[in-house]
Amino acid sequence: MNDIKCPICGEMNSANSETCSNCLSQLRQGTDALRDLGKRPIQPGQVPTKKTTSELEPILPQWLQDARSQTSSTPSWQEGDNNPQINNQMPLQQPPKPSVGAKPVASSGLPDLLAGLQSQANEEEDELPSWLTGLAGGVEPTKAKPQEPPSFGSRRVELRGGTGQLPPLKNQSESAAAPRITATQAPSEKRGGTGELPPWLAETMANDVRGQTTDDLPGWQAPSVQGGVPEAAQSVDTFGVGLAGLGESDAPVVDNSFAQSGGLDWMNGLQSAGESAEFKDDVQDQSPFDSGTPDWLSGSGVPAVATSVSNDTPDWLASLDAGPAQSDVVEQASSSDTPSWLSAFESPSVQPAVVNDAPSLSNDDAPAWLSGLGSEQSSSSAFSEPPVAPVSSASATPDWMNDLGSPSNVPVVSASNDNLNSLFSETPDWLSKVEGGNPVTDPFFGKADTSNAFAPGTMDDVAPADLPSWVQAMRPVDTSVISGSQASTRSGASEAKGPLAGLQGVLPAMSFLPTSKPRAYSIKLQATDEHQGHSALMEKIIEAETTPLPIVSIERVISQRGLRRSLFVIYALMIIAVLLVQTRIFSLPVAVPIEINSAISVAENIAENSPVLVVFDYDPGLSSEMEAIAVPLVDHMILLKHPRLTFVSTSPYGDALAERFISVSLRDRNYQRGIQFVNFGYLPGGLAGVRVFASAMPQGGFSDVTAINQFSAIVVITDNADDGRVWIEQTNGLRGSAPILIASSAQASPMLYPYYRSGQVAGMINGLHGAAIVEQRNAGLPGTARRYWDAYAISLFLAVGFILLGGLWNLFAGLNAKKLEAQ
Amino acid sequence: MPVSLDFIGGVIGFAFTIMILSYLIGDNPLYRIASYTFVGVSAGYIATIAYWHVLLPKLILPFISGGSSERLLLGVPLLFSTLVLMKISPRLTRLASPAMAYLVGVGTALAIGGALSGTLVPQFFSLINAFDADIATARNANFLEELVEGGIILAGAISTLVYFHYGAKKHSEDGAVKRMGLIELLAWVGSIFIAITLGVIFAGVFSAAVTALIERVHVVLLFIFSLIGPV
Amino acid sequence: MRALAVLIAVSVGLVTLAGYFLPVQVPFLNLILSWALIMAGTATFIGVFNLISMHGLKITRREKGSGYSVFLILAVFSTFALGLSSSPTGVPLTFLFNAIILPTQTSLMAVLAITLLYSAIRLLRYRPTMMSIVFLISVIVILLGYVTLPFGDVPIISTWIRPWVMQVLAVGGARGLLLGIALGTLVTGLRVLFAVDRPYGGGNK
Repeated sequence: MNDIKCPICGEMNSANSETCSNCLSQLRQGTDALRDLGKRPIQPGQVPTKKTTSELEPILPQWLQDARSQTSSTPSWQEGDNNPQINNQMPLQQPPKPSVGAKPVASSGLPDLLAGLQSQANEEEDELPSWLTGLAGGVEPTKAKPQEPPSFGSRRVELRGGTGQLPPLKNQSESAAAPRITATQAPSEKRGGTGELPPWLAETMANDVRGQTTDDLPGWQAPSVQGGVPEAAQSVDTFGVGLAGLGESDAPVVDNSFAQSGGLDWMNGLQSAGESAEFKDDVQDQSPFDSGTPDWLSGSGVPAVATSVSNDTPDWLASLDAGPAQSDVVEQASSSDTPSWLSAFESPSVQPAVVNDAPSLSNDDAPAWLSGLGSEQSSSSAFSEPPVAPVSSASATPDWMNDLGSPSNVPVVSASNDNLNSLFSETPDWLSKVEGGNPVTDPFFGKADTSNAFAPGTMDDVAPADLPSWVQAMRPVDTSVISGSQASTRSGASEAKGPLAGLQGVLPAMSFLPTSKPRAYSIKLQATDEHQGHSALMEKIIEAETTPLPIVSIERVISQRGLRRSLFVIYALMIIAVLLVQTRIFSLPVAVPIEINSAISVAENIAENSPVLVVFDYDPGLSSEMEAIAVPLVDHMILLKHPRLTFVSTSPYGDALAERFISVSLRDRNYQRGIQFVNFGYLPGGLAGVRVFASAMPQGGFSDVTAINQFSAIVVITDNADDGRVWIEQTNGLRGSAPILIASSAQASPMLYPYYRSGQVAGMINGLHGAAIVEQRNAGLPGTARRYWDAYAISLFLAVGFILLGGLWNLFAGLNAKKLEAQ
Repeated sequence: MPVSLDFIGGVIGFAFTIMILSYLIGDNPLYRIASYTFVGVSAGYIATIAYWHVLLPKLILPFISGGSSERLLLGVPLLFSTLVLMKISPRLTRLASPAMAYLVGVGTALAIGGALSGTLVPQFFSLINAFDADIATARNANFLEELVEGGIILAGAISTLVYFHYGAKKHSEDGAVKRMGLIELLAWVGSIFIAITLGVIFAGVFSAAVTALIERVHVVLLFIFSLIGPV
Repeated sequence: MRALAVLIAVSVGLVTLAGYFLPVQVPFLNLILSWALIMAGTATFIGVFNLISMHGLKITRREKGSGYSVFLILAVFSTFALGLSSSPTGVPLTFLFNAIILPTQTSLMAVLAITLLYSAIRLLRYRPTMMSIVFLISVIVILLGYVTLPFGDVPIISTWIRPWVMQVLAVGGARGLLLGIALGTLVTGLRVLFAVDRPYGGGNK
């Protein structure tokens, strides 16, 4: 039968022994009773259920997710025990029993974040450093030896366990008390992390160095290793002052024990000072978080030291079921794999507090130190411990740390409850309850509020709270607490110097880099259903109009080209034939549309020799049509009234077109420049040019015409509806009674016709059809329309035939093709 | 035999006509040469016109021969014209913003004023007046006929405007985005009117283009027969 | 610079607009407008310069089809040189106009005729919709209305249907389009005058 090693002192005992022969500690601290809680609402001490934490990732705050992701990447300093970077940066990491202490810290400090750390820590199954192994054998545990705080977290857990308010270790690890730990831990770590110990710590170390048995261990640890009570007390005091404050209500116990141990005189000073100033409201200005936070601390990550209570928890722990927190403490302290020397630190670390503050131990089976945890005095008195001052200095603190360290967030005394709640705004209700009953104090920095202080009497009054699902999910799934403890013990980085030198996995094993990353605000367009409906309809319409039809095949392209060539050949041959033969088969139009009749009427009714403005706003490409329209109209006016013509154009080609018009088309009229006609030429600026022309006639025209309203008629020859519209609009109100006649291309007439119906235009002549009518009224002159008319008529008939036949053919062909495609 | 400038011009015109019409056979280098040359000549022609009709008479000559007050007044367009030319350089294009702003401001105001006073108000009144019996009587028109035509035109105008109305709601039943029933009906009517209008425009464009085709064929024939003899 | 541009656009625009509705001094208004004319004429050179630079770049890079760009640039400079050497109505420009510009543009319109006919024939193959059918019917009616028969107008179509379509139905649609254009112009212009839109390089809000 195997012997049982005392979890406290490491003494080997017989297998059937209940208590350690050396330290009288419970050898079996089982947690089996905690596992049978089934699926009832989670209560402190309840075994967590399995849940994939990744499912809850999305609900995490962004900064936590970032932190977790950074942690997942496992910085180099986190991976090795001998990493010098770690050693340099984490001098204060010295948890003799990180497996116990670290996990609660990790899991409770930042529930989400630390859960990830814990899981990460579990993955790292590093071996215990040799120095730790060596220490285990060399320690002479002393029952009354105050336990050196394994870590901030561990201390907190112990103390919390002592309060009985928190669940057993595994629950504790997920408990919302963790944030408080984290909040308080950061400054302490930061303090130590600088590598420049504050005077108080240096003094402590100086006292402890004498007893250090290993070179690797810092001085402060040596006494505890050697088991000397005063030294241990001092070392604990070191943490009690410097670190234990990071723990919660239990930290004062330690601190108080330190104070009681009388090992450190400076402690008293600190205490008084803390009580008087620092841990009251004034302490807010001296937030520990203001101290120069080292980079490693900025991660605030708790060391990846997931701890768990061993499955083979000593039986004596079962008796603590009534007070789950106590069992928690025991569990932590009783990790079977914990080196004996570390175990030796645990119970003594609390015991002094019990001795000092607790009148007596209520539980005979439990270690005295554990019982003492439940004493009211221990907590209350402990909370009055204020050793904090050394910690602050403000520079270089990351923003988040500043927030944490802001007065409202300083986890001091009773006020720290609210502060912490504000700190971790997502603290679940159950945690608030716990906090309410278990005052969150920062013995490290402040004095506990005795009114709200944790007291043994309140332990049982606090009903076990139901854990929220996300916390439940964060709870360690593995029931083997011991294994987790081992893993955490082995995975943490070893500290090289400082008070935590030699300890492993005590300090945050993650890089929580401070970030000033601004909150991401959604820039998503806030569109209502109606907006989206409009948008969808618009897109639908546009898509329908712009969707190109794919070319099905090359053959179709070839056939299209052939059709186009065929059309060209047909038209060319037909026109050539008609023009060559000079047929006069088709009659000119007989019916005169009303708009043409009006135009002719206006042209015939102008005053003799009156000024007429002729606007040449068309392109040379349509000069054939436009001249066919305009020449008979103007010629008709010339023949009848001999008007004085003023030419102007908003087209750069208008000048040449006007010259061509008067010198070629109306060559027979022999109009004299400057006398019978004036060419103003090109008017730049489009709208502005027309407006300027209409407002103030340029010089160089007829002397009796100084304004546009002095023209007897305005003839706008245009092939573009916009150009015609510009003249109608911009001369509106300025042209007076001067009528506008529009000689437009057939392509522009539909858009100009509304102006005729509205009376803004006196008459219109459109296309070759209109030109043929006007030409008839002008005695068939100049005959252009007539010359083109047969070819024009045949061309249109051909077009109608092609469109009809070809359209029907293509309609049925298209339908047939679709039908075939559908089949 | 002296070659007249008109003949040369006729040859060139004939050549360019054939080169452009050759596109109907297929894209070819001749067509491209003609089109590129045409663009170049047009650009040079427009620049020349701008110089002769704008810069020289409105800016250069007044600045050279004008009085001091006239020069002072011309300082603004001279400055702004210089700034406009800054758009040539991508680096200096920002400097052209004030000048472009000037042009945009003037053009916008003219467009607004013209559209409001020349189109919106008169066209609205025209829509309304179609239902005025007095006006119909004054025009010696049949009021009933005017009424019917005015009603159709009014329906066409409104439905055409409605066609371009994109207001719609998503039906909760099937999630489809549809316009209101009345709007949908009016839009459908508007599409008919628009189709008719576009058909008329298309016919006009084709008519004008056919006229141009006829004219070009006629010119080619004239040139050919001028070479071989009178037609 | 941006604020100056906005200030200029808004102030000049408002003054110009006031000329339509308020008794603004016409000389002052014309002065503003005449300045705009000069700038618009200057802006013409920017377009020409861009055309030259684009094709010049094409030539220097020896891109595909850069040989045609040589024709273009030669045409630009030769035309400009010829134009400056005389007057707008001088022989060189008139010759170029009658020999190149007019025949080429007219020929392009002739090509357009065949292309339009071809597209009208093929329309129903790809868009056999009610709108397309109405569109083609309208085209046919108008074309038949334009032409005549050897003995006169096409009965009914030329004398009744085409005028009615052009003067009533088409006017209805065209008026709607014109009103839409005017309203769009109004809104867009007001946005510019209120500096909501800044198409002159002042950036959009």
